[in-house]
Amino acid sequence: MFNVSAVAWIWNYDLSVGIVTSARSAAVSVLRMDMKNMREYVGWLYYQYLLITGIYVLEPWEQSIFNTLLFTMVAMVIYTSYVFVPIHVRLALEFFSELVRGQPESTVALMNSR
Amino acid sequence: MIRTDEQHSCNGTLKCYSDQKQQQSNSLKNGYHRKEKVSQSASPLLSVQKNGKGDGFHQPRVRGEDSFEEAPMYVAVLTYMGYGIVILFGYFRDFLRAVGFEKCHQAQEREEQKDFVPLYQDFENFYKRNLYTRVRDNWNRPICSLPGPVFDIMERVSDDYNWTFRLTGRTIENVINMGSYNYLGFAENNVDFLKTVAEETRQYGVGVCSTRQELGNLSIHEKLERLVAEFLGVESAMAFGMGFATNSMNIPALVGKGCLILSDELNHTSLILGARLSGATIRVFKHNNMQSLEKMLKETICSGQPRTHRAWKKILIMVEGIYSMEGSLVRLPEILVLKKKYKAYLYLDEAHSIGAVGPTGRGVTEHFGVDPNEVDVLMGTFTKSFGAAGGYIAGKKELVDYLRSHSHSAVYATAMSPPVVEQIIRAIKCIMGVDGTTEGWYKKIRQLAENTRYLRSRLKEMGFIIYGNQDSPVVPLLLYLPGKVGAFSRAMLKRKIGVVVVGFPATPITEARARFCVSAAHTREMLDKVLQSLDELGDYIKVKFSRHRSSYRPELYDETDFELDS
Repeated sequence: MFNVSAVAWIWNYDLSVGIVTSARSAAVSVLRMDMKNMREYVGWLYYQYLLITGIYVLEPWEQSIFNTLLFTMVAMVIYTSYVFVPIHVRLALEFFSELVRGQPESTVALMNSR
Repeated sequence: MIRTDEQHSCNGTLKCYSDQKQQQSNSLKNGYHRKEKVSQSASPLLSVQKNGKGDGFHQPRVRGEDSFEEAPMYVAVLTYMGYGIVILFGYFRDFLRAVGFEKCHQAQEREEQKDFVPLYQDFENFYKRNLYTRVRDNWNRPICSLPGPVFDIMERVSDDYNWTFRLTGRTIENVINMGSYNYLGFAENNVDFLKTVAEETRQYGVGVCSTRQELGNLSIHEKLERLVAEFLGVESAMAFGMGFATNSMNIPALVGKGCLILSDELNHTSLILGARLSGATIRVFKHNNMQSLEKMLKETICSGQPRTHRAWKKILIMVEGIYSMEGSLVRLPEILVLKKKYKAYLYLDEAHSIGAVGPTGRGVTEHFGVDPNEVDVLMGTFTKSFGAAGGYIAGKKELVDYLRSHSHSAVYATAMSPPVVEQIIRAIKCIMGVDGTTEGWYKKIRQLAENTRYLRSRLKEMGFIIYGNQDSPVVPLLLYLPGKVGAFSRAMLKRKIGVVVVGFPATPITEARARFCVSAAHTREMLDKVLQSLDELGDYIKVKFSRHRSSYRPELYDETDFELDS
């Protein structure tokens, strides 16, 4: 029913077009220091989030539960990436630079250097 | 009756086939006479497609293609995600109700019956409790005026999230009506137009209190049936009190066990119910797909009845003129070619298309320039374009006489009420132009066609995904996401426009839509107001999914290559 092969690589294009045009207007309004427009724009973004996830149909306390869960998960993802991504990146860089430098050497030396 | 002669002269090659068809209409068996028709089967198709023999007045029109544009991929993903989240919350709420934290507002089994087979555990009831009830305020809105182009809605609010409603006492006035099947604008209460209805009510009364076969066959019924037959251009017609019952009670009278029914995927429930009640074997072919239909015809004719492999007693192809959820038109010329090739009968349900398509409102047969006598059973309803209630079946005199004695509806159902019959008579006379004014066939039908073209082209320009044929007055606008369905309907009501949104059981679960029914009574200002609101709302809610490239469904082909098969 939906065309898988056609537009997978631009799947978020239409979304981002809408957000970019609205963001551009929001950026302009921030320049004019118009807090009301900004608040309206954030309200509209929240409304879009409600519609897209389907939360719009739920009662307010269910919406709060879902928002709490989602916020908790996003916070955990951010914390984990903040703590662990630099370490992983540093280790990966070390491994690949060892490989490039250690090509004339034997693999036994590579193991011993760890 | 001059018109049918002109149609005969347009479709020169088809005429000789209709003579042969009449000789064979009494034959009971199908499928073994193909060989002598093989060499001639290519030419009717070519004459249908190219139509070189028209005399210029009633040229068979080239139909526009139905468009079924697909939405971008992310829309499908988000739709499934939205349904998934709401279903999870549905399970959570069901758990709370089972544990006892929350009162269950829906019906429940009694304590003593808790060990019996559960009544309310299936998906339908789950859906109703947890998804439908949350947005239930968009349906069954109470209306307190006549459903013309504008109407009044009674305002109602709910204190417990749509489990119960209360009316506030206020009325929302002059709401533009984009949901009623008022195609030609006959839903009116103008006293001048309804004079004949009042007279007939004075003469016949309101109730008939009997069935057609007993004491309920009034002279006004006979008048109506003669008029319907003349309007459609066929020999004879019979009218019934309810459109749904016309289908469900007459198909069992026409086919029975040992017959084959080939029905389109998206047929209406009344057709499906009639087919199931008849006891015939049912096969479903893909929507409007002639390759699928032909393949199915070949397979079933070759294999015969289910266990005995005898020849089928009858093969009936059931299609609709306009499909009400998609707005697509049937491919009538191609089906007629197939029908003649494989000796099948055709049942055409013109519930939405009678009065609404065709240059003079005679339905899809006129739209395609086809002789209505070629279709074996013409069925339609008076509910939509004629502003009344009931249905009819029309065709050859033998067929209708048979139905008069064998149909369940004729024997057991009460006859139609006289004011309703008179309303249909006056509506048909108005459309035919016989009542002395040019109101009907010139103004109303042209206005409907203009409104349809205008609305469809503007909506496509704006970037919405619209299904269906460019000439059909049913305009489905795809919304897809479950959250947007409720938001759309409520926002349109705030802007004083009443729309009908359709969701899961009536449409596939991922294709929720809003359905607009264009009316001849809508003025250009009303349509402009609707279009402007849709434009703003489409940007605010973001339902403009069209990428301005319509991709046809892969199963539909432009070229039909029947001659390759024979």
